[in-house]
Amino acid sequence: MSSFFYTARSASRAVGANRVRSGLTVLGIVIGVTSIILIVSIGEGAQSLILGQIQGLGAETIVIRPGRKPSGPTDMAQTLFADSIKQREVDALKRKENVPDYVSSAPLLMVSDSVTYGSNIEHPTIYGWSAEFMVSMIKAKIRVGTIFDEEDIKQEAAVAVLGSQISDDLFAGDDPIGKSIRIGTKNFRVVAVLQGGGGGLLNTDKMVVIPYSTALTYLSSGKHYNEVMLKVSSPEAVARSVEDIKATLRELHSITDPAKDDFYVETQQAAIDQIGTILSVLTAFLSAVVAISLVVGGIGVMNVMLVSVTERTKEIGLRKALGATNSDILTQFLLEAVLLTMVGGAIGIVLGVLFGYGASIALSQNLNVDWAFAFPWRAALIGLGVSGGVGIVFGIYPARQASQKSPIEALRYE
Amino acid sequence: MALIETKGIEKVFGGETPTVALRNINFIVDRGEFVSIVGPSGSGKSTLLQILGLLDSPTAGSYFLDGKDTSTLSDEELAKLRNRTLGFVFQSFNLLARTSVLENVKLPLAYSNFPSRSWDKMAMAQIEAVGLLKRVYHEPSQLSGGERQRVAIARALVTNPEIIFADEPTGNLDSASGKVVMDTLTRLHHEGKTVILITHDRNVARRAHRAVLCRDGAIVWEGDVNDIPEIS
Repeated sequence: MSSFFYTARSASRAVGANRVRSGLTVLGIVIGVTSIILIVSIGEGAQSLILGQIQGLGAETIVIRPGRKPSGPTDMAQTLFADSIKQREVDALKRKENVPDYVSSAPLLMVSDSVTYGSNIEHPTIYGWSAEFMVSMIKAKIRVGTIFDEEDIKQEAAVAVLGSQISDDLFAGDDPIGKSIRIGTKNFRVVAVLQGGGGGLLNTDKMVVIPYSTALTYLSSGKHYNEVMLKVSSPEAVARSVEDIKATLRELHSITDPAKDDFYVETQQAAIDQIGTILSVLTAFLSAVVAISLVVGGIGVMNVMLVSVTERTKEIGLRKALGATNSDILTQFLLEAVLLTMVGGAIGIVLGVLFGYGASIALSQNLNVDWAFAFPWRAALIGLGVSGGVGIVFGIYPARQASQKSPIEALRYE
Repeated sequence: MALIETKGIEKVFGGETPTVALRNINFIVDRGEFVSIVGPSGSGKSTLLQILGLLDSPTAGSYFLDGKDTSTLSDEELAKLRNRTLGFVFQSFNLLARTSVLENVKLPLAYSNFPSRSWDKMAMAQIEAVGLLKRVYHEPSQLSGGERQRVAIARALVTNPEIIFADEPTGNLDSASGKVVMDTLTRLHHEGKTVILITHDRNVARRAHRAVLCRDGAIVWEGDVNDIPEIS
């Protein structure tokens, strides 16, 4: 064992003796491992951000949308224009005999229109929704004013809650509360402004929320909703409630064949699973691309190790003359290759973490989201392991070449 | 029993025109002897030393080291013998560059079974014996030729081998340094080591007790060092 440590020290001295060459040799490994760490850390950051936001909606939330479940971008249009979810469906789902675990729900309707105050025109995302449901679901905070309530919805009141940026853009420092804005052809009174920076998946800074009833009556061409969000009593009740919802809507729409459903139901868990799968596949694909750079790096290491074996032929002969066995020489050169690639891997991890951290800050600031950076332990260990593995795979051939040199041939080498 | 005994050793180097380097070498060295192998360039004396030093194997014939037929030994056993029983001093020193005197001397210990905690002590004892204590942390490039050869001697002795092979140890040295190196080898002989010296210099060869003369791959003369015939 002591001789192993001595051999390891000799290997590290040999690697350190040619710093520039060693550095250039492991550049491919450094780039490869840096990329792995960066990809995984951004991937994990994205995953935790998206999952966190979806989970923030609550595991007990179920979303019902009209039309078929879109299987691609072209299906999105039919979902937007499908009209199978109307007030009748919303009311049916509220009934305990239909959905026993029902707690609350709110339909949502997207309005495509501009918002005007004086001469200022903005094009925010306008939701016909329940402000109370929205606030409780996305945990939005109110900067000023009082959000509209169920009574306002019932009365089809012309009231609006503004996102912070829209409010700032429209009112430019004026107090917006009580002021009248125009959406399409109808005037709305601003009752509240949300705090900035919240909302997660929904960019609440750039949105306007008005009662869904008002939106349906005055701003919608059809009389249907884009979706209904429904909360049930517990995450455990989600699966059976989904079946209850489907049964209710099928009965309402006289559908006997589930393949002909004119609505679809999504749960947060399904969305989490789907996004997790997409990100995992994406990360695996990018990692495979990065693996190519590791192979290229490994070939570079092999090349330099072969040169090193030739350069140090006499040293190999000397070591053998002094008692080194074939396996001693093999171990020494293999350790040199592994040390070289693992140093490259370690540098790659440090750079990857630094870049990953920088990227998380840049993404947080530019996307205005809370992009968390977590040290990618698993990727770092994999990176170090893979770089060590590259050292073994690409170092074994030069090391064998070295170990099989005859001592006298090697000593005679000039 | 002889420490070294060869029976009819031959060495032929292959290639398109095979070269016979050694022919029918019958050679015996007893324990504690100091033997010079002399001969002109190309006489086969270095090839003989390489075979005796287990760095090369004969094409034909047998080599018995301490009674053991070396042809039956595995690579690992040969390496162990080179490490524990044989010590080498080369004409061109063969020290590791950019490596301190101490580390160079410790090198054979890395392949031995001596516990690593004793390595420094063992190496320092040999460095002291060759008078280079002040040069312990110097690298070969900072040493004179004579000093380098003394480092090589210290390295050859660090595992306390029984036999020292010295291949033209004074070949690259001035006469003063050469004398120091030969004095060291003589001292080792007096301490009981078996020393086999290769040289083409009769004056150097006379430091031994017995000499053999190689010519054209064969031993052509064997006798007292004071009677060595003209070499060339």
